Amino acid sequence: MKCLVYCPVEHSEWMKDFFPNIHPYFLKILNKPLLEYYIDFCVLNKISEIRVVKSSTSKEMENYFRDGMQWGLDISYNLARPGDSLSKIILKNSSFCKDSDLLIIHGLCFLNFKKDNNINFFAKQDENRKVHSANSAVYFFKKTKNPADIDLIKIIEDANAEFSITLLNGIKSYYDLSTDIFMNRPDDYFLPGYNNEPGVYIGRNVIYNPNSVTLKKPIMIGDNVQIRDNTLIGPNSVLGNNIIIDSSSTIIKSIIYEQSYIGSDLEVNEKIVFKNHLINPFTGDSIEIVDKFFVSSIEKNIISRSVRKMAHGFFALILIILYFLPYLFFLIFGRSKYIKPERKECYISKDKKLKKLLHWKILRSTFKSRMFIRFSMDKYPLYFEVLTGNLLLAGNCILPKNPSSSKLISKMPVYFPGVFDFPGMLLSCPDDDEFEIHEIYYIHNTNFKMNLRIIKRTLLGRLFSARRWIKNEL
Amino acid sequence: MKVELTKQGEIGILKTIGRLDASNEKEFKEKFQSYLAETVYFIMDFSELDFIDSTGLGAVISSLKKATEMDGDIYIANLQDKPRMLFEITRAYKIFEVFDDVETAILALKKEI
Repeated sequence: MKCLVYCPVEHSEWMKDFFPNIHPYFLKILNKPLLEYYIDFCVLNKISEIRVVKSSTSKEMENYFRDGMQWGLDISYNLARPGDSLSKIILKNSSFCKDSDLLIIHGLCFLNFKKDNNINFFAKQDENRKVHSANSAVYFFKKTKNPADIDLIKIIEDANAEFSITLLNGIKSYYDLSTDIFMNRPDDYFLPGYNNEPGVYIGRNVIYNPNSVTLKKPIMIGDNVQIRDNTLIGPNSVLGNNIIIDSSSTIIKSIIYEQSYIGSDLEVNEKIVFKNHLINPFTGDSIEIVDKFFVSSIEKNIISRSVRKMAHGFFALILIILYFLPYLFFLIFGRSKYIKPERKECYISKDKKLKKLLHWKILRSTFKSRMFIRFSMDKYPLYFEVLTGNLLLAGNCILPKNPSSSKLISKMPVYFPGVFDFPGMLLSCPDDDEFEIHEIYYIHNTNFKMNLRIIKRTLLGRLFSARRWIKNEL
Repeated sequence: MKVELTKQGEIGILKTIGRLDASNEKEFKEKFQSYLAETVYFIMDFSELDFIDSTGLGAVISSLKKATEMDGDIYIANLQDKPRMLFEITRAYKIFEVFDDVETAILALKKEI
């Protein structure tokens, strides 16, 4: 038997306001991703294959679940276009859906079941059935050779099902569900953490002093959590992984999502904290705490970014020394009316910080302009911007200030402009259809070797085919 | 890289075998351009596509652009795990219909024609 999981984009629209960049299947409920509850349900029902259909990206989620081997079943993934109906998804996955009994979990919902009950619910069914709540449903289909024939409308509701559905359609339903499971039925599910006494779940590498920290159950603490002195945690509080609670703070009936820092002397009561956002689950109000001493997300990459900047600075220094004489020669003898310097305002960060950068405009292909490009003299002043940390040596394309550049930067997951860039190496400019693809490809595949290849190929490409580069520039 | 075209009525099934990257994207574009004389409806069968990079994806997108300019369309079938990651991170899946087998893709495309 197989299971197809599909959550249309519109079902998880509310999450964008509270949990930006969290994939709906990866939404943690009591420190466990929603999809993992589905997997538990599938395992209980002797399902051997799961197809997860996604209409938004999540590398993190796929890295976590991989091929499902950890749970003893096969997980495969497929893509959906935003707006695809369930019928279309069945059609698009018909190879997967045919020739086996099929369970479909449709929508953003939580399945209420008991792990100790030998459910095996679907083995008893002799015809198609569904259990639904509003726009979400769990369907059961008997084996068919042609999934395109499945009629979703005619399916009968199963009144005697051994499980039910709770819709996750807003921040309140999310909070209520966590509270309900934690307070009333924690034993129904496999919850993460060590559970030495009822109502207490503690993860690995949790550091606190039992003499100065008060824990009131029920309480759940994830992995790698530090709780400093004179704090009170609980009752009914969930702390995710990688959290620091600073001294003299109180956390009651709250959910602290992973990677958060709670400052000292704070009282968090009936709230959800997601990175630097404090959310009231009852009203839906969310405030961003700007002062990082109160509530903030723990930056994972600060150290690696500093090391990267230093490495780029080092290589920039080498290029400054190497190209010093050619540049000096150009300034003395190589100036031409066809090579015009101009200062352009350009974006230098994802938050649209601007900086005036020197840009050399080539107006005509002449001997001097070809030599200028051949030796990449236009790049020389930019190496100094690498030393000051404004640019990387190899990074995203430097985009000038204008509405389309601004839109493009907003769409990119990160933006670290560099003197050398991947689309530039391929002679693709921002007006090209493929420019955005090249940029996103670079962002997801960047590494030291790739950056080195970009610098090398750009410098050599210019050296040996300056005419082509100038033609592209013109 | 090898590109094979077979036809089922009006629909051209374009099977790409091997790698589609900067070294052969031009060849792919040229071949596709020549196939456009035969039909404008295509299923790109990626069951044996081992690797695709951004230039390869750019070629696939430019093919879609050309086909749609001539009122045609391109569906994708049998997208394997590694190429799928690229479709996902670049959000290219939002512009293509992706099916898990050629037969269903043909049925769906026939409905559109």
